[in-house]
Amino acid sequence: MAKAKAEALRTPLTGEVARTPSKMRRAAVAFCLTFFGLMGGVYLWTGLLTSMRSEHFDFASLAADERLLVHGLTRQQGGGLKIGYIEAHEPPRVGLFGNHQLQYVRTDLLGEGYGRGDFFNFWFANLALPELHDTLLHLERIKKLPTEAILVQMTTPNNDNGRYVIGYSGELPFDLMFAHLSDPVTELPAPARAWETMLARGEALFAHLKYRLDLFSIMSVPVSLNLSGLDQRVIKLSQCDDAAEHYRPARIDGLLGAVLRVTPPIIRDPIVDRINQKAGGAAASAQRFCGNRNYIAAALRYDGARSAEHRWNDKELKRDENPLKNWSVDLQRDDDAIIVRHVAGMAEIARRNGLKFALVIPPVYETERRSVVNEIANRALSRIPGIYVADGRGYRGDSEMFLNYDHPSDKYVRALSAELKKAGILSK
Amino acid sequence: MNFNTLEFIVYLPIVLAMFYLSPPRFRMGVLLLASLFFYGVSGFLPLLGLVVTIAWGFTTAFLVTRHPGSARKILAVALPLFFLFIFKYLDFTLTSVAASDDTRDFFGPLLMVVMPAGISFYTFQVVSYSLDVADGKLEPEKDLVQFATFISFFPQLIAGPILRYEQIRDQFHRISTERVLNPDIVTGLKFICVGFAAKIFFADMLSSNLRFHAAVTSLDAIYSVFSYSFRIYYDFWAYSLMAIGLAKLFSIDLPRNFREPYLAANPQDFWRRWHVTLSYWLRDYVYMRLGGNRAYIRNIVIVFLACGLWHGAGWNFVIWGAYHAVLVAGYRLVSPWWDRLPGWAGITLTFLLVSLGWPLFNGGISEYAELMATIFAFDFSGESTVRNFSWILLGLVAAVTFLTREDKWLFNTDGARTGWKLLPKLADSPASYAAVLSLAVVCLRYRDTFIYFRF
Repeated sequence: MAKAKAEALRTPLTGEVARTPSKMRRAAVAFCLTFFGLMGGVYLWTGLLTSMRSEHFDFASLAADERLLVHGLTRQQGGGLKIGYIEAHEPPRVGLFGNHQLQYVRTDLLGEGYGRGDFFNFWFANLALPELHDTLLHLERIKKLPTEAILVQMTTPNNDNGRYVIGYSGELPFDLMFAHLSDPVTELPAPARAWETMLARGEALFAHLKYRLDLFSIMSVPVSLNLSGLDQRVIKLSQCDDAAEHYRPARIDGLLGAVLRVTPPIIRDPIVDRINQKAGGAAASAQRFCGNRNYIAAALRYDGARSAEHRWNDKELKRDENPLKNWSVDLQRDDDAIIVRHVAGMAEIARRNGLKFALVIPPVYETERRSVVNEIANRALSRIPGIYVADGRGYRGDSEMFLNYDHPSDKYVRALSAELKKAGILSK
Repeated sequence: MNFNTLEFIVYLPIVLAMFYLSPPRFRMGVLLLASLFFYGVSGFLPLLGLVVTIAWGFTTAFLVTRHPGSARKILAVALPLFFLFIFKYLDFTLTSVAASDDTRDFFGPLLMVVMPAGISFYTFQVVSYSLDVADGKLEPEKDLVQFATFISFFPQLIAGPILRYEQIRDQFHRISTERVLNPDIVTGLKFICVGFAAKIFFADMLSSNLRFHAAVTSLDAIYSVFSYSFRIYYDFWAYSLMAIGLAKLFSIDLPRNFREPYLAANPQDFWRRWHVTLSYWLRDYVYMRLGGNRAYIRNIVIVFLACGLWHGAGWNFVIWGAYHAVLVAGYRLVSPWWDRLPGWAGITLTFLLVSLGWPLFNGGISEYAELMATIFAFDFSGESTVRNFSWILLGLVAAVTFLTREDKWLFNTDGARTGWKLLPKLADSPASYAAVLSLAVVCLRYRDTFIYFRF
């Protein structure tokens, strides 16, 4: 009997025996309540993440051998530090606006004529052209644009096969996102603008939800709460040494140490941090980040850059590391218009504020590869006359120009600086 | 739009609400509009290509019925296959013939169009429909909305399972006529949640620990091969399971695409279990039309070369197809010996042989050769780049694959729910599925799409 009943419920294509229709509504309600309840809990929890932007940390106050740790901060918090800095302090002469590709560009590489306070590297995360446009519009409104020149970095088209050239990374503070929609230079006809605004609001909402419903955000809450004071995040390299016993969790012995050593760092660090502080006081506190692979490597200098000598676990130099496959192209044929719109919009911001402007395209370490995304980018660049483009893609085959596939070396930065000085963008 | 996105998690309840709140006669319209929206968010050109393909398939079906003949049959499938060639194979063809820059510039506007997602899947559905109509196996569908929904049905549009019209026609008719549908929501949600979790915790985690080019020792290379083997399986298995689950929410049953393929006893058996809907498509529309077993070796080679090319436009895929042709044809030659092997030995050998072929999917031929050279150097000295955690994860995934029977714990094919006795009752409840889904959502890495989307 039971077998016959089961056969009656058998699904012909998949072969499984279906559930009876009864209790379906109750099951659906139980599912929805649990899912949305848990998601709501996560959303509330990540609401505890502190805003680093409102701290208005003064990068210029860092000494040459001091670093600001961004360990345990979300990318949005890290970006907020830089936005908060510029919102409350004097702007530099030259600002570089870009993403991780140019994170190692620092003041001393620009050569003569540039010292402390003259240059700030605004890089963070994977910012793309529209987000850089949004950032510049925001700085223009609050009258905090650099005073001499704006350098805007475009992600090399062949880096991620076009990703992050115009694609929103969603990592900009949310009130800055889509500021370009109201830029008078790039204003669109009313219906197109209404449509674009609606899409932008949707995109901003999803970016917000992705940030708040993310494992890293969840795990960052205890780290963030534990290291909330920015003064605790400043370390002095001269006080660091390489003694392994200083490093966490080597200082913790016994069973607890054994357990902590196999615990993921994001859970382990706040616990060990507390133990270290209690056990070692100020001395341990000053050194607790020294040499640790996760700390100095993620720390920022007074000019917003990272130090290339403190790179840790950055990828090895590998030519053509990112494949250029047709199925993963992130620039489409009509996207050249979007590139033009944003680059022209940013150049116009510079023009109306009497600033010099250059678009910087760093190289990636590759062979001569013909790619759709490169062609789309080239087509866009050919449509923006009168803008200086420091196109470094020609350095593609010179291994000395790279730290790894998509991070150019100091040698490249020096060459870029010389080029920009020759073109009159930077002062000689 | 991908299943593994927040956008989709918002989109789905809206579509479900619209579907169930609509009168039966409007349900197909809702499904069609939802499917076109689902596809259209990836771009206007891909949507246009899909719509033109649908219109062509719908119209030419009447033409081949009224005027049978090979020429009209070819005409009926010509446009979808032409689109497939242009969007998927043009670049490969130009590269293979070393086309000059002038030639490439001539095709430049076409080369700049990104390959529409799922084009290989929906093209095969249109072609099978046209051929079935031409062969008199099917009556041409007079309802354009129903036909268009068959081609564009969003749960399976991007990566299958590849449907035949006779599998779906009566089901569509039922949902557009019956007021009460009684969908198996619990099973649907279970499939979606298990698929989502498998994608995030198996496929994506294996992917993040996968470092083909960093393989230094033979052990590293072996890890890479097996890791990728499970990764590609769970990636596609997860998508297919989610597709079946999603369709269930709309009271539609889709065919299974996988039947525990890594438990296959030989290479021939593997293809009856792996991507089943593609295997049967190739059997019915290529192999049988070539004469079937009358020229076994020749037809097997052709079918697997086509299978390789279907998966991707590249010589690595052609070689992968040829490799499987050798496996299947070779099995036929040695089957008297092979079939006497103990069950576990056949399964192990099949798994090893299949796994050795998968890295061809991931990269070029030279990288594949390097990887094989590293493996067969049998050099286990030197420091491994594979972390202990990666090995533990691989072991866990292997244990689930080889020691559990999804026929029982997931598909419940014996109807006795014996499989569920293995798990506490709490684990088999909607609340548990919701908890698993929640955990998977916060672990989502939005960059990781499904591997089969590229095909």
